[in-house]
Amino acid sequence: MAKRITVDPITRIEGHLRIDVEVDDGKIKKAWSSGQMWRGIEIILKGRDPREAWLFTQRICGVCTTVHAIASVRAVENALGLDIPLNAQYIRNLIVAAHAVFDHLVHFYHLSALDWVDLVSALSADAKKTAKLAQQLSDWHRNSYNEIKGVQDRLRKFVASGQLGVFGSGYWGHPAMKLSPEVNLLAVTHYFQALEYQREINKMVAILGSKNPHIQNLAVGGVANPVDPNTPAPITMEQLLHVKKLIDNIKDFIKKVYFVDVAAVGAFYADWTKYGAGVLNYLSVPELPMDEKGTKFLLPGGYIADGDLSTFTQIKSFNDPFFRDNVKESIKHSWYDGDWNRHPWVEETKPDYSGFDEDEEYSWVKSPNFKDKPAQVGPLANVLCMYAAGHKPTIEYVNKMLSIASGIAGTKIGIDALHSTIGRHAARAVRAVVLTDTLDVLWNALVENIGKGDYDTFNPPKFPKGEIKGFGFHEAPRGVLSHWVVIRDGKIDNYQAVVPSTWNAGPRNHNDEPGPYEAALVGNPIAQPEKPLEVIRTIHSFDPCLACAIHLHDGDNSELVKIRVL
Amino acid sequence: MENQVLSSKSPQVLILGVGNILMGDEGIGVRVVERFREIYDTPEGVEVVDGGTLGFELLGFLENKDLVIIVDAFQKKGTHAGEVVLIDLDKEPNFYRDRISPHQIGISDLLNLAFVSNSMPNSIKLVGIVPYNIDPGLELSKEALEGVEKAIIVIKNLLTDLGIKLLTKTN
Repeated sequence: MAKRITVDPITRIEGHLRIDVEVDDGKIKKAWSSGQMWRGIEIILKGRDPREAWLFTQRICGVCTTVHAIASVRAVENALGLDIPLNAQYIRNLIVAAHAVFDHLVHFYHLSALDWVDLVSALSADAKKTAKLAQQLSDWHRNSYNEIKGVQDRLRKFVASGQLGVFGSGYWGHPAMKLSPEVNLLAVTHYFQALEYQREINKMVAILGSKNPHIQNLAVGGVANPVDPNTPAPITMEQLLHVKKLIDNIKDFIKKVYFVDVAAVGAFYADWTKYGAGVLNYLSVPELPMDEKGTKFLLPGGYIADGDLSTFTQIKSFNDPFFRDNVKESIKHSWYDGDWNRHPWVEETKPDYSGFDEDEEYSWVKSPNFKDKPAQVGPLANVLCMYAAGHKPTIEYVNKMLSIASGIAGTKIGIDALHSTIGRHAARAVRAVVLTDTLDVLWNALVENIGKGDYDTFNPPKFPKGEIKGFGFHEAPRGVLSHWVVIRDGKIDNYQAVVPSTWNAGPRNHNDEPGPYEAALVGNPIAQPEKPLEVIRTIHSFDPCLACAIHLHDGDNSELVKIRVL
Repeated sequence: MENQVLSSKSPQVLILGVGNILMGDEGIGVRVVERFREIYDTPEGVEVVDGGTLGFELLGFLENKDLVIIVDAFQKKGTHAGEVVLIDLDKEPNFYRDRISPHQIGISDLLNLAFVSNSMPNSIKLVGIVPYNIDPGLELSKEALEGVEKAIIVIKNLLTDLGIKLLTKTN
């Protein structure tokens, strides 16, 4: 008998994502992904000054503020054909790279590790054995017995006071939890340490973006003085030295802890390299532009069809028609008026809610497609594209990740293993390390350029009469983000944001092909239908975050996650 | 990282307005903070923050605070639009944790992480304002605008109780 399971909502952070799966014989046969929240940014921006758009787009989502700001200014600059001074590119790049490292670290330890790590099991670990294992895996200076024992004692206090709920997960003791008590304790130790290091990285973004806590210093045309008079002047040498210190502080944690932990967890859960592949068309965009026009990038991007790296097509510039002309969104299965598959510049946003009907319309999320096919975006897509492009650091770190994991698993794990639930975590860790290395490159480039006496940070935009169109893309922590703008007589006429979670969480498209979440869930095992941890694992591996809106306090009782088994 | 007892004379307070300004009254917490800054000079020891819909990135702001006042939209059966409620989260520590609705996961995760990392403030209050209209748009409803003024008075009283004096902006 097929069973129907509904998980609503599934995101631990922002967003309202509902997942329905049909389970038969202990495996998922079909899945539906439904965004339960409508985003009205397109309507709010119509008629506004394009120079202000980023201030509003950074409010779309609480997790992705910075990335929407970046994509927005790039879109307007693209419409104007505006060059960006080198200093401004470097400062933006430092913000982009630091923000992404922050996001990846938090995603692994604080938003998804507890899908794999059993907190309660860590209590029964032998702290001495844990320390020995930790020291075999990495020479991280805080893998000491004292540190690990301290965390175990702290954890014991949480359990004794009945406060494990603060960790936000509830799958301890689930049969799909496979790590030994020692590995669990090691991961929990790093969970606590990661809390300290994520703050250090966040400080970097705060200094560079005059963040308070929203980024203040962007402008169409470059970077500007802070908008808020309470914030300090933008960049001084003293601040740059502070940033350098913060880069040095976090480097070891990313390389010696996060990277190694993901390799180890991946090796212990090697069976999860068989699940969760889904859509194998991968899309990513180049990031960290190093020239004024956006034609030279530190990190490459492009498109891979059917999981075949030899099909890789590179996206070469901020103006590349290969990207511009191949993005469309379909609304066949979404709650909007009409039935079309359109380019973002000619989309319209007319909500038309009709209730959840899996054969007809069942989501607020549109269904984006590239070259008329669904595409997976995110760190996995990015890492595979960088690998295919021959980006040396990526190749080196992918090989290192696979070699550590193979060593622990005692069997050879190849690059194909990345097309999976656990592979998305591995790719994210690879990307975090690659980005961490770029921080030094960017910092040096900025300091060197200022040293040459170039103090330019801003080219003023001038808006012509008549209509202009632009697009701005950004390889955000969750994948390809693009903003599309039509400007008429200096005012926004149309604005569309095609966000990473739309690519991944989209419903079936105009040809009824499932989106990446939906496809990735098919074939996943389900041990206990009433506790569908496996669904959560696969969805969390994408780092879900529906760019969205509401977080209203509900004073009436309501549950965090509604799970219905039919 | 320990929660220190602060030796300075003035108590450390965070006024944190949260919500999404793109969704009408949903952004009321942010609007209260904006209005507060418009009317008053920020007193010593008080930090006034527009938290938007941010979550983790606000963790640092909670540290070493005697009092955190979260200002947010709030819904409960039997309340009416524009009504302002003051909830003592010290007395209802499980308010966020047990009654987590999809609408407040950001703040609840933030408080959980603050708890786990020993950076919980000594006291947390929620100033909740009941919204009327949460459709996309930047304007507040008439009811919510009245709620903003009421919320400012509630915040002012909380600060007065701590001996913090507010000065009206002169210019």
